[in-house]
Amino acid sequence: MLTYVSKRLLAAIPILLGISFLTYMVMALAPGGPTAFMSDLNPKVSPEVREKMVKLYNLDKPIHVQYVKWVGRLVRFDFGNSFKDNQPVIKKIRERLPKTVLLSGLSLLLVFFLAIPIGVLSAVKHNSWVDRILTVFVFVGFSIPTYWVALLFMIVFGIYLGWLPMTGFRSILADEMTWGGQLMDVAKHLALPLLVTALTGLAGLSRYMRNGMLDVIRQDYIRTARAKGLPEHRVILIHALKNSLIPLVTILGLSLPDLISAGVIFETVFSYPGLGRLAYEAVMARDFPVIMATVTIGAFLTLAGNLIADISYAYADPRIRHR
Amino acid sequence: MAPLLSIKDLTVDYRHEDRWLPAVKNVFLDVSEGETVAIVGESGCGKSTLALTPLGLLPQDGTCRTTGQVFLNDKNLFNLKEEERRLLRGRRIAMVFQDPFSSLNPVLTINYQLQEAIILKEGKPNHQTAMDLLKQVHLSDAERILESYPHQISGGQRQRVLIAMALVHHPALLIADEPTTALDVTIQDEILQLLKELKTKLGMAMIFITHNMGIVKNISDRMAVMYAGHIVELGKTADVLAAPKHPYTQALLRSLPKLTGSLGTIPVMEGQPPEPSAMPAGCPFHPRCDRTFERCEKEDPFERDSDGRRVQCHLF
Ligand SMILES: Nc1ncnc2c1ncn2[C@@H]1O[C@H](COP(=O)(O)OP(=O)(O)OP(=O)(O)O)[C@@H](O)[C@H]1O
Ligand SMILES: [Mg+2]
Repeated sequence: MLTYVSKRLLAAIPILLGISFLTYMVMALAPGGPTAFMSDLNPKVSPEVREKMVKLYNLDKPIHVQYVKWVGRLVRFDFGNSFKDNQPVIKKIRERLPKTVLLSGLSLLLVFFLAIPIGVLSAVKHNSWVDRILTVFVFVGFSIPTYWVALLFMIVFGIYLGWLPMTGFRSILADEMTWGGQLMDVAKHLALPLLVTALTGLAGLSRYMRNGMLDVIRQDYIRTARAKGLPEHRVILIHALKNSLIPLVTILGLSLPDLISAGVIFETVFSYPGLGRLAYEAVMARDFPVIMATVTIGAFLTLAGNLIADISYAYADPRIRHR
Repeated sequence: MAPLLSIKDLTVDYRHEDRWLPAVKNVFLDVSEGETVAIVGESGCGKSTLALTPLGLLPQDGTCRTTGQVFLNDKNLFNLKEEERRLLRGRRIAMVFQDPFSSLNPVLTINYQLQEAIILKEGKPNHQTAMDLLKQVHLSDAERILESYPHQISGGQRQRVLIAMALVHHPALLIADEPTTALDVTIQDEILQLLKELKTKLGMAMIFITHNMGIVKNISDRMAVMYAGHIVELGKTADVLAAPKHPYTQALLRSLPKLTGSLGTIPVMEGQPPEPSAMPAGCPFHPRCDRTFERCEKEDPFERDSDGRRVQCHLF
């Protein structure tokens, strides 16, 4: 197992390099690439500033040299400074990442805790009215775009009912609140984005769980369990659930990069100061170093997620564990 | 004495889209205490469906319906509540399935799956009981097998474990649905001997499904021949094999590859059994029958009894 993991880690390095290289190239060649930002797109940049920036980021060198230098700084966790405000990129990320992890982590937790029972119920009551209602709910959840749900919730809970703040992470006056008050304040700000992400995530995962469960229930070993005379709840909750949870472990690992990608839309809608919104803003402003940093983190999370998925899969399934 | 199991006019239909198609049709079958009844017939003739009925393991999701009666001793199983039926499963009627490779839960150890059955009987797990059970099915190395997951032991070992599991409660009736089909030939024989031995030792009755006439001859007291959901012939195994009456039974026995005789002339039965969706009118066997006459196309034959032998054919 240990050799397997280290092999996988080593194999991840070239993949990571490949992804970042491609991104670097695309960014550099795309209209509105880093040099364009310096001139056409931003009239406010004076020639002297531009000169300085070009030097700093080696923008006058050939592209592969630029890339190598970028990688050289990357291994020291130096993502450079933002084009926009000249702040170190790493500082921005350090500020945003925990907030994204908090929101996504809570949402993932909520989704799993709801999706598993919903999926099981749907499968066990296959074709009953419970299953039908859940199916409708799932399809609605699937078909409505996240940003639309987000806007709807903002209108209902934020404007009509006025229960919850619609944007941001904390109130302006949060610093003057008590410790408990601040916590409450953050919780209120989290409520809407959490609700929206959980709702859309729930649709997919509960469906997945239902279908997985339906598959397992048809297996011969479920029939054996019933033939033994086990009570039905044991057949479902031990024999069937244990098997249908295994693929879920993979999903959990693979959804790690969603931290960023899903965040791009709803963090922007909710003006939530997370990594996704940082990425969105960076793209809009052609903030090259920030874009490269978020893409690299995204690629890293994808690979890490894959590895975690495989390892936990092997751990959960004895047929693979014993290989 | 009342038979242990008595199936009366049982019909089982499966729903295919909006039609109900019969898999078992108007079946009567009694099984006495301690006797072995073999059920033979081509694939799809309804053997497994018939076998699952006494246990109440047919699909419960509305895609399957039953009519008729099934009595265990004097209790009509179809009148029992689900919980009462569950309490008969494993305890009074146990089952061994065809495919030992898929019949054990892959993520639970053998010990766990065996203890589950033991808990139902003794109220708590018991290592010694598990060891004794494995010894009873001639599994040496029982400690290792208990610790294993199903994929870590062979098919034959898995089937022995499944048999051990079925015997926890000393059931009165064991239903074995092609328990050797998925195994190597040499192991088939061992499993067969084991089942015979245990049956005698524990005084169980057994319903044994197979399409191997050699096994039928070896293991059963009586045999039932199924065709398209019907039992077309039923009688003492020795009698039926020596003098088959129904044209289908005759054809089935003729189609057996004989080791004596020239290799080129192995008779094979013509045609296919009818699809449940395209049952012929009259006798379901008449399109393939070599002794068919006018009446066969119009009337479904009734079962006729004579000397404990039952044949469902207009010829008798
Ligand atoms: N769950 C089910 N839903 C719908 N139709 C079914 C179901 N199970 C069996 N059938 C149909 O019922 C008929 C009898 O099937 P069954 O499995 O009882 O046959 P069998 O004699 O055991 O065949 P085999 O020798 O292949 O095991 C077949 O036509 C089959 O397609
Ligand atoms: Mg079968």
